[in-house]
Amino acid sequence: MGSRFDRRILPWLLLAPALLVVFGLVVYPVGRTVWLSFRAAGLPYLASGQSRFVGLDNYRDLLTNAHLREVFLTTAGFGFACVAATMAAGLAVALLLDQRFKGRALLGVLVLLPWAVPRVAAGTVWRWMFDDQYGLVNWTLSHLGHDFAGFSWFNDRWPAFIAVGVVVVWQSFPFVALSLLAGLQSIPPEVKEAARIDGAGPLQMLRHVTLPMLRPLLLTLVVVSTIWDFKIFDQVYVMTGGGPYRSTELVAITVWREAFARLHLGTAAALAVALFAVLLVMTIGYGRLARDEVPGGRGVSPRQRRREPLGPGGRGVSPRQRRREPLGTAR
Amino acid sequence: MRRALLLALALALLAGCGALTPSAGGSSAKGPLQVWIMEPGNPELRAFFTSATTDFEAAHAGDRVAVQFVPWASAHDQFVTAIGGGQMPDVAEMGSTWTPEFGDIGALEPAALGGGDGAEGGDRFVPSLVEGATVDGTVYGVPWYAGARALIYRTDVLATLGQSVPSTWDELLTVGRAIRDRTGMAAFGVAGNAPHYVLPMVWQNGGEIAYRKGGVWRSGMDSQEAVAAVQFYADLYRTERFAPAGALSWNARDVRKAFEAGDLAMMIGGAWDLRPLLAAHPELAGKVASALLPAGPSGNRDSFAGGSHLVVFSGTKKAALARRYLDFLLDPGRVAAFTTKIGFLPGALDALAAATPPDPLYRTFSAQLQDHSRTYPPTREWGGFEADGLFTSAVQQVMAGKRTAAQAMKDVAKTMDAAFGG
Repeated sequence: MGSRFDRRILPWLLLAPALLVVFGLVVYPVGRTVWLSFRAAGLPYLASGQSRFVGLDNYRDLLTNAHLREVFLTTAGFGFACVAATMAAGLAVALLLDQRFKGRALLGVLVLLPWAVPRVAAGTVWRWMFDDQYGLVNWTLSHLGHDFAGFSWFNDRWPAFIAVGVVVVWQSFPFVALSLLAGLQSIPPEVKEAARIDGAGPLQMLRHVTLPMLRPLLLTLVVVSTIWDFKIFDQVYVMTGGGPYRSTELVAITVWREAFARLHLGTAAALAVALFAVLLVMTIGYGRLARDEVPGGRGVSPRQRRREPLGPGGRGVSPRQRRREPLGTAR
Repeated sequence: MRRALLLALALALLAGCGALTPSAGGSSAKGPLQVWIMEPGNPELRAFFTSATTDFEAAHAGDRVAVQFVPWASAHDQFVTAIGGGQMPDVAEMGSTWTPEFGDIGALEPAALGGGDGAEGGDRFVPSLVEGATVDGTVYGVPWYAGARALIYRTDVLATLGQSVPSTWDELLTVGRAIRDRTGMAAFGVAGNAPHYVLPMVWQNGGEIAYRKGGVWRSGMDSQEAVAAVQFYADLYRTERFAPAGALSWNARDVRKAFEAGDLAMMIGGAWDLRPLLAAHPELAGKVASALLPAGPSGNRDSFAGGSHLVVFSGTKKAALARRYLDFLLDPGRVAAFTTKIGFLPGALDALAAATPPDPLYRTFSAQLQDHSRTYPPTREWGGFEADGLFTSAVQQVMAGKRTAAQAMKDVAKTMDAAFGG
């Protein structure tokens, strides 16, 4: 009796607090959002809970409303551009920090600083720096010989996205650089040594040794960055507010505008669910890619790995076999 | 024994989690009165409230007040969030164009304007402010303060050019062109993100932003007068180049910044702009004056009468305390002192008489408010239009030359009519 309690109920009791937190913070809000995405709900919903079931109407809006469709495409374009720039900047800085030179430790700390700046603060500061009349960016560019006096970064979507993109990349490359630096330092020196003896130059070394060995890490970082950069809100909210004339709206901004300004809570929920679905599909896709990669052994699929002959002893023995063994000897 | 202990522990944990969940449904009966005050970015405001709270608590033994400052820019969001979470304050200052929206869904208590209940006593206040708080005959907020924008300009620049202050749209063009061609300054603050600059021009041109027809609101933004007004405003930027290219994404604060830096000769602004501007830049003293807004072709020169109401949220359990606090804040002498400090004018007529400034620099704003101002249509939908940037994004498109005013305003009118329903 006592042992049955311990085995069957006790684990659940011990898990209960964590499960409750997960349920309260994740399952319930996500479920509620999905539920809301099938309903028409406005301000009265917030005050007294009134809403009406409308089936797939909110999702139909996403497909038929030209602005909402455009927002998704813009988000994807801007998100991928930011990911690419972040990865490039992060890799470059990581490679630099992997070299031995004077002041490396100091630079390593300095590089981390942008990451530590709160996003809203960074957006505000950079908005001033990109100011058309009194901004540091225009002043610097003008002194470098380009005519940027009075150039307005926030008058049109392309310059505005460049300005916002600079801030996003500036804030997210330190994390990538730091992770890649850790990865670089875990590459065994013998491998590099061997490549060098075989006559590999620095670029060949990067292409054929360093990058392949960092591949699983790179994939993970790409996934994480993609999720972050598709959800960008703060920097855009502070720097452009989605303007001028809604041309710099990203999905997260549109969700906020639909929910808090227009009070179309159902549409906002549907947008959020759609973004969630897109990110989920991409993450699963990346996950597949990452699983098919074994460090050093390119192109070996999990299935192939499973087919490999099982050696004696611990390594390569499947869990099932290991469990069977002691049972067998006992009999 | 051990089992029982574990079970008890688990139950205690569960119960603890329950206690952590915030309870919905208004504020509690205990604790201080929760008050939200809008924060305009003026340090005088906080100083006023620190001493006012002390005075109030000293005068009413046992009453306690907790004042929280909410920036104007995010206040609409914060009210929506608070209502959604059932965490409203007891008393709040509310932008006069939002009161109908929140009153209509039952988030606000009907306001007591006079000694008695209901709408009586409304004649004690600036009429446009009472109208702005009224939905279907019920008043949801007590007018606290009001202000209207007028024209602020550099006297020295105009004197050098031999120009006098523009009093019509045509003169605005003449003076503006002289400034543009003969000085290095921008002539006029035409900003893309400033709805209160462009919308009154619809009135000045003889149009209506919205009107009532058969009990239903209809948009007037696609009327000839409104379209021409928006086109006029956009052309000040696009063809006349009265402001730098970046003004497309400027808001009223950016305009003030350019004026402060001495790069702008004329701007639309309130006394709340002028006071801090002169305080921070004493070198501009004597070089700045104010005038009524230039009149449009119809002869009208109305400005938007903005301001705020004091509201009580429904479901408050401290109604009596809230009433005491409102009476305290609305004391004519206190309102007059407060509004002068922040550059506004009292919403109550008796306080307004006491607060009208002798300084001609500021008397303009009183005249603009009393004789040449009106409010936006007091509809429950208006707050959403503003928060959504409905007017500003359309005007920006016209300023950028992406669309004509007629095309852009047709869409604005369609959106407004869809929201009004009927």
